[in-house]
Amino acid sequence: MGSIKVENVDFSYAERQILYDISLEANAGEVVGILGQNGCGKTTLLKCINRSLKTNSGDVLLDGENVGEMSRKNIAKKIAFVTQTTNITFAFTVFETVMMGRYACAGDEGNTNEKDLRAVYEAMKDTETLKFADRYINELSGGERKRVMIARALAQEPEILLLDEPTLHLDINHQFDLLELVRKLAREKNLLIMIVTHDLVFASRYCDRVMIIKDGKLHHLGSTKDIMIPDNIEETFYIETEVSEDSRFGINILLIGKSKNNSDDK
Amino acid sequence: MAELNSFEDLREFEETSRRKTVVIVSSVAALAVSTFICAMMVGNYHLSISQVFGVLFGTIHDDTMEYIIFEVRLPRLLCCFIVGAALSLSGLVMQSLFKNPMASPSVLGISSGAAFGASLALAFGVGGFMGSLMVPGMAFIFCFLTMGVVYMLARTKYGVASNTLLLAGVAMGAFFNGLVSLLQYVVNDDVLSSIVYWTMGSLNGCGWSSFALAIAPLAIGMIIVFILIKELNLISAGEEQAANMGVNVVNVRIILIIATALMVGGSVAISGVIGFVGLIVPHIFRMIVGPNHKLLVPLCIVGGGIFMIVMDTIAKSMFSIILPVGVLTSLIGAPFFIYVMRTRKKEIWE
Repeated sequence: MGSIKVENVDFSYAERQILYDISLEANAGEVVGILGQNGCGKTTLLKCINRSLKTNSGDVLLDGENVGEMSRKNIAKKIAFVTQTTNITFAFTVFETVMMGRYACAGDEGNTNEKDLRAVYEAMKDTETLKFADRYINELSGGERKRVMIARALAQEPEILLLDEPTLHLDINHQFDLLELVRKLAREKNLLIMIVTHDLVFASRYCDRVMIIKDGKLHHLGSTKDIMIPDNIEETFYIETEVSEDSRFGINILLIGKSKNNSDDK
Repeated sequence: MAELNSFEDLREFEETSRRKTVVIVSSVAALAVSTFICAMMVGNYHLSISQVFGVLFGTIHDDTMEYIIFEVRLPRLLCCFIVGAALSLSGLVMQSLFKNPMASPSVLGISSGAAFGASLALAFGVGGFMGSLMVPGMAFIFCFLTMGVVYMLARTKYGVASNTLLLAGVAMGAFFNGLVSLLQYVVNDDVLSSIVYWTMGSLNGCGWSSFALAIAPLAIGMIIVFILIKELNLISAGEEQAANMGVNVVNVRIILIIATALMVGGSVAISGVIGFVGLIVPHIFRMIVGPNHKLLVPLCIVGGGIFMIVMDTIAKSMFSIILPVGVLTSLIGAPFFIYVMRTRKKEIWE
């Protein structure tokens, strides 16, 4: 399983409405990119999906169950959420940090068992964080911390992985590694992965489907090939782009031209 | 440490960490027992170690020694231990819960509220319907009242933010401190000295009745914290992240604040306001063993107990007068804390 259905969701902070009537459906095995300008409501949508925020109206169904009626622990058994922030107030070791991901899945006895340790090992191996298991989290670089946070999310053994700008702080090599891992998790472990990103190039290369949010409204939703076209991108981000097909890798490459912020066309 | 390459390496690493935890907690527990026994020997009537063991195990039958051990020193030391343990554990919980290095039992205004309750009883109520229980009873009641008011003040439509809670606590603390000062200004000299002595914090006069009064709330508070160690670890790493990993942050926070109020209320009720223990003991252990509460909670309980026994023993035996222990915890604790802070090897706070 691992499906999400968002039905007519509205959300507002006090008087300021952020999301307007958002609906979408996503299923296991998919990588769904969420794109849009700063402040358009991308992160807010992820937070509504895992019920960090309560919607004003509309429902979020997780495998058919309304998240509004689920306990936090039951949500965490299905959804792992890697937020933008990598700050941890206290200097826990990397191993302790990743082990925290087992909270929702650990047995009632609360002790670490073989299954917990195996999940932590796999998560740390996949994110290449094993080598600094005994280091303190505040001794790591931003990119290393981000990988630890992703390892912790994977240790939850979720069906759905929500990633909020996962490539932020990562060097180009680790950006590729991470997104390859994301696609592998979707393909091999049948995870549904939803990624908020500003990187249009990565989105066009690694996402199966993308949704574009503008001013809190869903503007486009569909296959990456159909949605990531120059007209849609220009309409949302005010930049000129060109798509060309690279036969060597069998992928579409998004070429970004100039910003149209200062042009009269805007 | 050698780089981890396999699952077996990780398992070995985890087992080594676990063994280290057991060794550290056992060592500190052994130190606590030794400190307890040594403290039994010290006082106006000096006892040798063989006399202490002889009386404890029934091989020496001497009315004076039995009275000193069973009726004076044992209950007083037990009170010292539980008060020290409860205050340091409360400080640990608050620092972790609010992610603030300055958090301690006084930060939410709880200690000040309790001080006002006790001062009110000392000023107007002693000998009333609650008799000798009036002062500790009022301290305990005001402890909870303050906690309730602070929580209500910090509550908004979107929940309770830790920073707002802290600010509400600081404001309520200042308010109650003002009320205590006002009381001190209007009462007569005898009551004034009682209030001042009580707000300095002291374990003089603590006996079995004090122990009986405090043990239940303190034990309940400590058990709650033990049960919520995992949640405390996750919340201390970040509330939003803890919620994403399945912790019901709002409920856990309320339960831990109640546990803290039980521990602070129980302690203040029998010892008055003893400052600094709740601030420095958790910091010292966090600097030594890191932020994992699986290790920190038992260490703060045992270490806080040892700290208070040592302070009380010094306060009653090193000077020509018996000092209020609260004065000594600040005078000795602060420089020791600065020493540990300056020589620590790793950063604990981001």
